Amino acid sequence: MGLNPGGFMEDIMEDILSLKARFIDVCYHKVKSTTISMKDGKASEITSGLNSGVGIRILNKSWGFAYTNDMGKLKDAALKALKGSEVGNRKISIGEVDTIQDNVELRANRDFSKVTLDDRLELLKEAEEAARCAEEVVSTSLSYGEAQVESLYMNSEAANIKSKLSRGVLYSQVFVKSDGKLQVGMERLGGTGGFEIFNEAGVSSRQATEKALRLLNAKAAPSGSFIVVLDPHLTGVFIHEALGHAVEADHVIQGESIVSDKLGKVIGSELVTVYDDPTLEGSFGFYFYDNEGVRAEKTILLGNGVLKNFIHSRETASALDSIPTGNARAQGYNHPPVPRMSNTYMKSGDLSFDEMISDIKSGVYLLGSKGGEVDPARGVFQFSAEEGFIIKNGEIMESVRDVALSGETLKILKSIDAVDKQFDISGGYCGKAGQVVPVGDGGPSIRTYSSVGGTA
Amino acid sequence: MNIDKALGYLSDKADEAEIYFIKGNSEKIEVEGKDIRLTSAGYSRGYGIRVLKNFHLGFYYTTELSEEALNKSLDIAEVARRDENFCLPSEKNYPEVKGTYDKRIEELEIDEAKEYLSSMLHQAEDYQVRVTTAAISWGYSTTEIYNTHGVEVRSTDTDIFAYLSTVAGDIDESSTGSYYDTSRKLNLDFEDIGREASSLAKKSLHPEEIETGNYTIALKPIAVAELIGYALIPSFNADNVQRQRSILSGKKDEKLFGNLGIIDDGTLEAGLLSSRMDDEGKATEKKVLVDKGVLKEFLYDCYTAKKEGRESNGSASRGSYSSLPKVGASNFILSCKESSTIDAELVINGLIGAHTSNSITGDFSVEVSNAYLKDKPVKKAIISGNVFELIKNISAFGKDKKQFSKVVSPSIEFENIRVVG
Repeated sequence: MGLNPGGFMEDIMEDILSLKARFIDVCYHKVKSTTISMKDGKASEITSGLNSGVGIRILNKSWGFAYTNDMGKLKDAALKALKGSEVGNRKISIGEVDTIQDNVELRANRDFSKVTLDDRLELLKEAEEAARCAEEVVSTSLSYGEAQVESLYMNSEAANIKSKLSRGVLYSQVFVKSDGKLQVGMERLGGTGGFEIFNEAGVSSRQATEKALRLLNAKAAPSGSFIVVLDPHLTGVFIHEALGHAVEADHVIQGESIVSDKLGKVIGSELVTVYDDPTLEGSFGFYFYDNEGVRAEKTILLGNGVLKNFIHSRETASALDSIPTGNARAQGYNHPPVPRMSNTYMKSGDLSFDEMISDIKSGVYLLGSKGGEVDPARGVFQFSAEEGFIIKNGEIMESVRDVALSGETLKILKSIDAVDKQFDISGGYCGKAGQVVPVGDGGPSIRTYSSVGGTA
Repeated sequence: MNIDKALGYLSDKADEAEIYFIKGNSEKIEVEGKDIRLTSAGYSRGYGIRVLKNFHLGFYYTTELSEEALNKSLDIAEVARRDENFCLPSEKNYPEVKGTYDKRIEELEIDEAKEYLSSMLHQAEDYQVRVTTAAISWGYSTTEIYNTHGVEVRSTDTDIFAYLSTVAGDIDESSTGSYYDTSRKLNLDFEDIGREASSLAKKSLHPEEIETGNYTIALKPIAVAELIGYALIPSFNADNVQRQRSILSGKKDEKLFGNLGIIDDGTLEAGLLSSRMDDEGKATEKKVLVDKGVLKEFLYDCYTAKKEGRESNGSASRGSYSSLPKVGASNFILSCKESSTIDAELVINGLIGAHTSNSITGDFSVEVSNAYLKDKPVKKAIISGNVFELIKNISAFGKDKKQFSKVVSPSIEFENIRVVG
């Protein structure tokens, strides 16, 4: 069944759009989800469900936003949004964009609606068996999630966009024990499309086990300032956390960004070129149109070290005399859109990994991300690597665990003195302003100089 | 379809069934710079349907209770794997929990919230710092849980949250400060929130480098809450303990926590996580987890309790109507003999990256924010170590007890902590 049979939703939304205001947009969202939690090989917890609702945004003297998942209360919501739009006293304008009418659907090789629950369970069973590849494994947790998302966006400029896409993610968590020591390895697989997202599920879960086994023998990491090499995952997290959040234009406007006055200036080494690109098919951060009906597009953020663009909504683009970049995103109907990243990555270089580390006398090689956080106004970030290795005289030596990297974004960007030719993007969720959206981040392996915090 | 009828329908087709229902309003007013940028008002509701059929679990969530939705939960029970530990509680007696509802929050209008907002913003003006963002949000919700064992319980809750983030200085040199507070009643000190956020930014101007070394540090309540929330609380989850994912597995009655006491109290008056029932309808309790440093108890829901042939201690929690209940802490209260003064050389107000802590081993390595060495702001520093070791190094326990998210704690001083400058 397609979206809003008989145009029922469209009629209601038309009604709301006819209210008197400077600008109105309405977004209907319907999400069908399934989750399976397989603990130690038993898929005993399966959940499924449906949630749909409408978010209304009205602009007058401020934004008035209202939402509900009770269609009987839509009219109330519209009036609340209207009232809320009169509360402030701020000159908000929105950047001009093409008015789009479109109906888009992301192609899937294996449509989720044609896959049975048994197919999903079979996939998880195989992935779990792959994870049990060592006798040290004491416990496994596989957590599967999929969401089939349909949306209808309409605004008072006559935009009308229907969009349909599905997203899937699998987390593998493997606990290993040896000599009384306990460690965990984690791996994540995610993308947009259909059930084919999970073709490599077994490879992914097995990698979680291998990671946990390496950590069992890892030593506590040293602390201090080191030459560090980041793998593509960590490069991605660094770019996302440290640079990406600083170029989100709402942070720039709020004075919470260290690069607010740096447009057109050199802020990184000339080896650093960074893009934000929601159009990468199959990627976790993929979308057709943002939540203001602006077409998704690839944006260059940093070109050979020079800051080229911020990430915009229509409002921030107008406030900073720029052009909307199609990055206004919302978690769902119950949140207003704010400038967000999609897939953010650094461009690869020419060196091989071995060439990049060959002249490092003493350093640390860090892999995988356990997450990070940034204070964009101070330009200070922290993120944790899943595992690491000591580098001695150009060679990878013993492994280390529980190691965090922290530093000042601008210093690190300028200290990047080698970029290798690998390239990988991984998917995850990013939280900001109380909203969580799917994103991708990645790039090559890079070499820089930073503070490392270990527990030794 | 109403809940009674739905439960009747399910009891014919399943061994046990539960309907969880939540509905609520939430409102928000947001400031950017000096002006209100956005207001938000929402109403939502939803049902979580949980059924057990010969120990096979089915779960479906929906915004509309219909026969189709009920059947979907039953269909899932057909394919899910059997687990004999699944069960739903029966419960008749619930504790009286005070201070979790305030009519003034339910009836709070935007115009009144605007005044509270101004009193926060005025502080920023007084301190001559710029406001980056500020917000007040408040909500009112009703939760109802019904099951085929006769559970029929309802709770009405309110809460209010206020936040201010500021920048001091100019484009060449600036510093940030932020502060927030949450309450179940309309008793937040908005001026104080404004003062805290503004003074932190102002006090953090012109920071200096800190030498790497071992220091006596004091963590303020927000920093304690972040670290304890991520690095310690998961170890008390019975599901983690049973599946050997907790360092506390098999260590009951051992003295592991120095002189610290820990109580998880779902009945705490006006506690942010307080309620008369947990999220599967079991009565909440006050549980002594650690007594004078000795490990005494873990957190159980019905499932983990049945595994050990004991009773749940009312620790089931769910993120929303769309998810199954899991073990979770309520108000996690730290206690220790209070000291008259805390005079640590390094005082830390906030942490960055606490969520990257290792929840099994308790290892952490986090960046500090708004930290002061002998009252002078520190540029950047990482503190690292292990939370179980950290607790043994408590050298003073403050009197400024306050709840942030789940954790109730004062400022705590720790000796001999590794700080990387």
